[in-house]
Amino acid sequence: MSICPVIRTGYRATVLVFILFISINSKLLFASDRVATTTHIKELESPLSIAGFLDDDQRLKIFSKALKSSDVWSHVRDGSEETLFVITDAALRIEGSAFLLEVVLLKAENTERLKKLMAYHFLPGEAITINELSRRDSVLSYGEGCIPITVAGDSIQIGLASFITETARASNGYIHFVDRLLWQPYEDNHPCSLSTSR
Amino acid sequence: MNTKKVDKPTPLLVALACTAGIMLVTNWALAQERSIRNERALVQLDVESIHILGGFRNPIVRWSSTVNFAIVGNIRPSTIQKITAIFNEISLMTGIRYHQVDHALSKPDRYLEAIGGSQQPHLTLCGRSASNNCANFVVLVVNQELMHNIALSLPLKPVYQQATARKDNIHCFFSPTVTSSFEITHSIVWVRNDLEVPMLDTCLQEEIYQSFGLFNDYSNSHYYSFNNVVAPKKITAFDKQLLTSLYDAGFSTGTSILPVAIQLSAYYRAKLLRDR
Repeated sequence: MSICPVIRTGYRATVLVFILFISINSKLLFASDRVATTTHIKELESPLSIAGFLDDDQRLKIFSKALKSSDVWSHVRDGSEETLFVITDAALRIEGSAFLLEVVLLKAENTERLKKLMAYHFLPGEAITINELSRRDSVLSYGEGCIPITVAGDSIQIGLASFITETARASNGYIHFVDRLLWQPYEDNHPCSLSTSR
Repeated sequence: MNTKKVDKPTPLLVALACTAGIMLVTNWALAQERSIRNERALVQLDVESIHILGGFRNPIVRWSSTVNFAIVGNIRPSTIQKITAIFNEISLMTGIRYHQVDHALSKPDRYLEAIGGSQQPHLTLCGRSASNNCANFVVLVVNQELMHNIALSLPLKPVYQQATARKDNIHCFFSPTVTSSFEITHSIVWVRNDLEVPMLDTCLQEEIYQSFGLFNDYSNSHYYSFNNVVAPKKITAFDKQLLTSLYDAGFSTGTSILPVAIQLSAYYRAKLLRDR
């Protein structure tokens, strides 16, 4: 019996396995350079508008109250296509910023600070999906602040230190839950670069 | 002869009534104890907050202008990112804007040379792009000997000159400049450059935070990380909340710090009542 066909078959099988191995690994290696897979980010759908969603979701009481107390609220309530970043009461308490939103920024003397902070969380005129966010380098907030977006593995970082944990589609846009308040005043008035898509 | 029949309570009913009574009294006593314990905790919070703000006679001392910070020392890019994140977090809590002067000096000797010939030592680190963009907050990550020379040249207060002269194992300090109108206008933070990363991070976080008006430490604090303990630790939620309260525009710079502290304990008192 000739041994050549056995060797040839074995060689072909080895090459196939090698190609398969390389293709699987290249996907794993380069996935983070392109778009986040966002598999761990919980996705919800709601028939409500963004304003209705805020009223309905009991986890967002502190953020909702602060947003409604700010001048940004009328734009959020009346917008037809928009994106809002929100943070739960629990996350605010972990961050140590619940006191800021529940007490200090609700005072008349701090109205401007509250407006500025809330403006960072609101993107008017654009309903941006989680996948679209992961393809962008930055987004322009209502306060004209350019907020950078960084994709690392399957996480999407918004600004300096906030990560998206959950996302919801409302009837007039998208709500993305973040684990920290968005804030980076040094980026104010810095125009977002023209090519904001990866 | 008519006899009135009186039902005697059964022993079981008596036992049940007694148990219910005991439970009521116990619950009441426990609630009282909890209430006293909570009140004590809130008083302790007031005491610690007032101490950290400089004592009950101290006025509100804080920044009002933009903080332009510069970093001096040969440090890792990840540490620079951490420093920026600390300033960003503080800015969120205080509303004070900040800017990093685009003139980080990786060769610390040059800082010493620069301040040697200056009339306004703190203002010598200026950005390349704009002449009015000079550092009013300098973070120095350098060795103790160089810091001692800097402390003599600026000059910093004698306590800092002496601290850096000794062979003590001093890790870091902050030195703010406060005007007669109780405004912080400059600050210098020094951290030794030979610390392990966790201690370096702790020092940077703590000294930068304290430079914003939380000037004192409270030993063995229940709430605050400013507790005179030299060990790796994290900023607490109370640290952030006290800073938030200090920069409430509802209170004016130079007025009593008492409302700043009381506002925080009142928040927790209301929270306890709500959760009851």
